[in-house]
Amino acid sequence: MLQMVLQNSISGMAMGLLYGVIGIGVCLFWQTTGLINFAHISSAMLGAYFFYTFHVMWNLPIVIAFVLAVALVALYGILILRGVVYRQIMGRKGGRLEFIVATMMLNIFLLNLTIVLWGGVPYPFPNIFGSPMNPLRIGGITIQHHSLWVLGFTVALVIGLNYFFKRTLTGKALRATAQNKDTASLMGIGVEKMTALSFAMSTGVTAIAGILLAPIYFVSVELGGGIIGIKGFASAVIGGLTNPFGALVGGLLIGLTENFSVFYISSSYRDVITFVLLVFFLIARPQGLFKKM
Amino acid sequence: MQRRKIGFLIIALLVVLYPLVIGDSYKVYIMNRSLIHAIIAMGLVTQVGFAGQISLGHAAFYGIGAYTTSLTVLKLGFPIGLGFLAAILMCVIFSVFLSVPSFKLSGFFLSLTTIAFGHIVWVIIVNWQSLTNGPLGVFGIPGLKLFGIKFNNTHYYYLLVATIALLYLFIKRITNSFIGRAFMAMRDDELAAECSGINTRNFKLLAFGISAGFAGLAGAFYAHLSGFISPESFVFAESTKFVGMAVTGGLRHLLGGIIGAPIVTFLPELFRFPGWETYYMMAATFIILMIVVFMPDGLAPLFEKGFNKIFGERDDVKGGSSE
Amino acid sequence: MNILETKGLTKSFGGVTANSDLDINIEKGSITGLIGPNGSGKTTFINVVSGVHKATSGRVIFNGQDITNFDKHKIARAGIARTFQTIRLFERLSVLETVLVARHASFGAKIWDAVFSTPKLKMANAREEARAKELLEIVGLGKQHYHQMGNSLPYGYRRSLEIARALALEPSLLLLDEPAAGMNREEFNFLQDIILNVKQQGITILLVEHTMELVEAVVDHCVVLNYGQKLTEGPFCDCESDPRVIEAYLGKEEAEC
Repeated sequence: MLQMVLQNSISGMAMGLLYGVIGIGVCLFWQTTGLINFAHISSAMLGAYFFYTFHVMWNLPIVIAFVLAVALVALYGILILRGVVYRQIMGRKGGRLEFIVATMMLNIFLLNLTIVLWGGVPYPFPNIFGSPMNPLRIGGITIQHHSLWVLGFTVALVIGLNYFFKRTLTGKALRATAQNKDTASLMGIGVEKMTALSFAMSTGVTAIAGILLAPIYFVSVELGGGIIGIKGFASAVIGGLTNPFGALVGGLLIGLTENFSVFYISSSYRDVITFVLLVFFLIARPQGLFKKM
Repeated sequence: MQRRKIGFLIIALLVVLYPLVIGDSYKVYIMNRSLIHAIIAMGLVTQVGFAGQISLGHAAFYGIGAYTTSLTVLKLGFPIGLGFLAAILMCVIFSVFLSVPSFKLSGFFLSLTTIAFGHIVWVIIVNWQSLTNGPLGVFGIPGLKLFGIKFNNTHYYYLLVATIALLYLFIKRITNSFIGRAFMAMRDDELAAECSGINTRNFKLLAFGISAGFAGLAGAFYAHLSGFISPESFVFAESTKFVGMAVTGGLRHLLGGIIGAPIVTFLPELFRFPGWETYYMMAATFIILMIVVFMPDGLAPLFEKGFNKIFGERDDVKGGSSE
Repeated sequence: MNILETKGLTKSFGGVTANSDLDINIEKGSITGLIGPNGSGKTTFINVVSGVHKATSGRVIFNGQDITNFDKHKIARAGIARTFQTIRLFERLSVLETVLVARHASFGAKIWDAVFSTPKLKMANAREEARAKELLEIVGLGKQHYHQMGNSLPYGYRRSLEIARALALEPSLLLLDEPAAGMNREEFNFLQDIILNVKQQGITILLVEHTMELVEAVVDHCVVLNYGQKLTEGPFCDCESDPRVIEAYLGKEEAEC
């Protein structure tokens, strides 16, 4: 029994952390724009495809392929998402509705673009995060190497972001911008630059999540069209949207709930539980679990 | 005024002659599918464009409508007409569940709730196998019949056109009335509307109810037109497509849904020339993206302008209550 | 006779008490001025009375009926209309339509009247449009403005439109939240005329205002708030010369010298 609970917790945590990382991306975007990007999850898909292209097709070393893929997605965030879609809609004082619809259409376009560029067939992801065939076995509990990598990346990301927001001048400026754009700009902070930075960080972080998700979902359009993105939103909402680290807790909550509901209820209704959880939080606690960072 | 009448007559003639001129039954079938989507998009124009209540879960109502009529007709032996009514009614009932969160939520939070609603309904359709036959779908849904004649695609086309004309009149009268004004006031400033004596809860219920009813009707049409339904037709991507249609046509224009749905449906066909087989979907979605990003009012105002240019302006520029 | 009475009305946001134990009476047919320094809780008071905020404790009695924490639209229909400190008009509604929104309840028509375009609705349309035009006349908005978008009007007219929308509820109590803010001389004089005109029609007014000139010119009675509490009340001239009021406005040290 205890073993089963532990096993479920571990697999739930790995998945939950990934939702959480996507949620961090959602929060980073919300912080400065007050908007939700419905093309958010396509950053994960693009990240996975870029990484696959650089590492598997072009045989670049893992680290270089990783950095290039994330940078390229961040560039897309700045140039296309911000440069075209955001600028255009905010420039004419378009509302949230316009932004929702535009980013939804952007997502559909990116899916079709991906199919044109890479074909619709999923690519198997190389076992760079360890083979699923020989997991660690500790006292009857199996732990995938991939789960450890996810944990490692998440910890590194949290430490990195925390350092950035609390210690660096740019990070503090970004936080100030998130609090109040007008005041920030009066204090001489380049609000435009900060917005661009938050777009890059949001898409970049999500690209990392995409690369880490690829061993589970393959390098496929499912990464960009499925419900993983909604679960990322759910993590962020549960965490409070203004607190990136809250999103991790939200993600863990979803991941664990999913894993245990598979066990106790039924796997077919797994997603229903997630969505009920989301709606419950939206209605009962729209401010989320955590306060503004 | 005379010239305008000629203009309307020409458009009416084009609409009536379309299936006869096209001749290709498959193309008429595709057109019918787009008209069915137009019904949903019209509902979304009312709910999102006029009442300001976003929904990204309308595929759920579409599905509830399709399954309700199919199952009541096949399992309970309802006549098809009653199946249609049941479909609409069921959707209106479900819309109450969805509008209750809208009392408290708006914008992004409401859109996430509607997405969640859409997914929950979809998962239930897939998994409640004893009722819905799960992923395999429901087969052998009877088509419409009148005086012993089975409807073909052209018959369906005329029926859909007539239905849309009636629905257009319906939402036109509602949006031009005191109710439409309350919708728009609620959309523009909910607090100010409430302080002006508008009970926004009622209007949210009404807006959700109208558009859910429209989607249910569309679902019923779809079930009987195609004879087969499966959960695949009611996924989240369909919901986004419906909103995309409404926005492409013009979210705040009464004709938005009617213009948007055929354009979004037929746009990919325009690019389907030899050598472009891989690119046509990308090209079509790119154009829709450009319309959404650069033309926030959609295409309907352009159509209106073009029409006015050719056939003259209306005499009464803004006629208040004149019909 | 008092048209509005609040008893121990308290509103706190988290730890901050914006209104504390307020007993305020407004006499029917009068113009009551609610004044006090910034942040003294005047707008909060209007928000609580009009149902925008829920009261933390205490009661609001309107025409002898307890309306504490009623829904906003119910309070509006009961006869308390308001305007907003920062003008809130409807982005895409014309001037005439804006006023008609507040006439909604008087239509007495149902959704089916709209769908079938019944004679009943047509009559209601004509009747309500006529009334809306009358109200626009009162606030100085003529024919040429009917079909303009509310937000495209000059500033002073937007204020007027907001007042017309409030009057369209046929209220017995009108809450005006800093109507003169940002007005030029001409607009200011016109506003003063509107307010007195409204009073003459028997509508009671609660005026929150910083422009003392307006308060002095129109109010019958004054209530002074400070830090969410009632400091004093009485005729304007008494309040104005009350040392506690001067102190509240100017701060202690200045008042001493």
